[in-house]
Amino acid sequence: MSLVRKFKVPNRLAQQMFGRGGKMVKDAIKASEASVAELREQGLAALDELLDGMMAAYGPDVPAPDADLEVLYIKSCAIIDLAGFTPDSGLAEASVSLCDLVDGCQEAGVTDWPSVRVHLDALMLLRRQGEKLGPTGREVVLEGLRKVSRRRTQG
Amino acid sequence: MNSGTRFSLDKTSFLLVDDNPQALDILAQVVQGFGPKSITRCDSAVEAKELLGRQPFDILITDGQMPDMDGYELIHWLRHEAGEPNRFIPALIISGHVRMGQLFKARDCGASFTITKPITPKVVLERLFFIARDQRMFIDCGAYIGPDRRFKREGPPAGMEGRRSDDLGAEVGDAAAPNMSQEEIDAMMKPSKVNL
Repeated sequence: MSLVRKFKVPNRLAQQMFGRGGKMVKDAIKASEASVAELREQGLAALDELLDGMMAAYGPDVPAPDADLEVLYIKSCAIIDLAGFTPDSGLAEASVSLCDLVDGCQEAGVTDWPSVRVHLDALMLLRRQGEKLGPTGREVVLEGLRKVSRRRTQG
Repeated sequence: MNSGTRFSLDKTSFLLVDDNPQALDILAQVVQGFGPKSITRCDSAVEAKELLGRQPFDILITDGQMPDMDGYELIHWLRHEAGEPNRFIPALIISGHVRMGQLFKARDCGASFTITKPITPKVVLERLFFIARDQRMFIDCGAYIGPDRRFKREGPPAGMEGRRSDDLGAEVGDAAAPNMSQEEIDAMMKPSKVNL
């Protein structure tokens, strides 16, 4: 059995954060949101570019995609990064499902382009109509995607 | 985290790491809004490792998935091999998705907390508050160095023996003394004058 050492580390952040004065939480969040909003336009443009690129590389018009699953995984992760600019679209959740699917395919050493395409179609739909679908409509789409991913990851 | 609570990060230096430039921009803008002393940005864990070796920081926030060296490996290195004063700084992982093959690596790297992408200012600030109020001990058992992950202290699962000397059993033992009367309990709660 290995020797376990337990010790206390001085919490420097606590000493720094809770001294006298400072800004209020609500003001800090507002300032932070304003700061992030500066990136919104270019973020949404990058999101559309990513989705278009994925559709062109792996979409239904490509009979046998000659692409690395790892690239698809990285692009799907990049969508999650940017999905905060459309918080009520369901894009982040759909991308997580695509990541699950691709990761499951890589683990199993297979490709499943029909399932990938279902995800890509859903991502395009959610980007264009996600907010209009409302929570119930989005959940129907997302649950369908999760079922597709689970089928792959659970065999 | 109360919206009226005051805090200050004007003495706090952040090291932010993400290989995706857009994600790094978003993270930096989020932190910038909190008014930190400084923000240092790195687009690779290798570069961050080099910086951590020669410059003090108060907090590290890193993406989990990165090529070459990922965020989990960076924090593992930090806890095991980095020198003072950075070795035990709070380290946050930001991750949109964790691969099945990396689950154990993520669990065992020694991170203080994980944040799920896409990030929002509220969630990032909440995590900073968690860290600032974190009372957990650090554990060093060779394979794992980092904050105690068993902080809920609910004891071992039913039917299993605990491995810690201070683990509580799932069963409540027999009373060691007679129950207190209601009068005795009331007397304990009753405010009384104290002469100092």
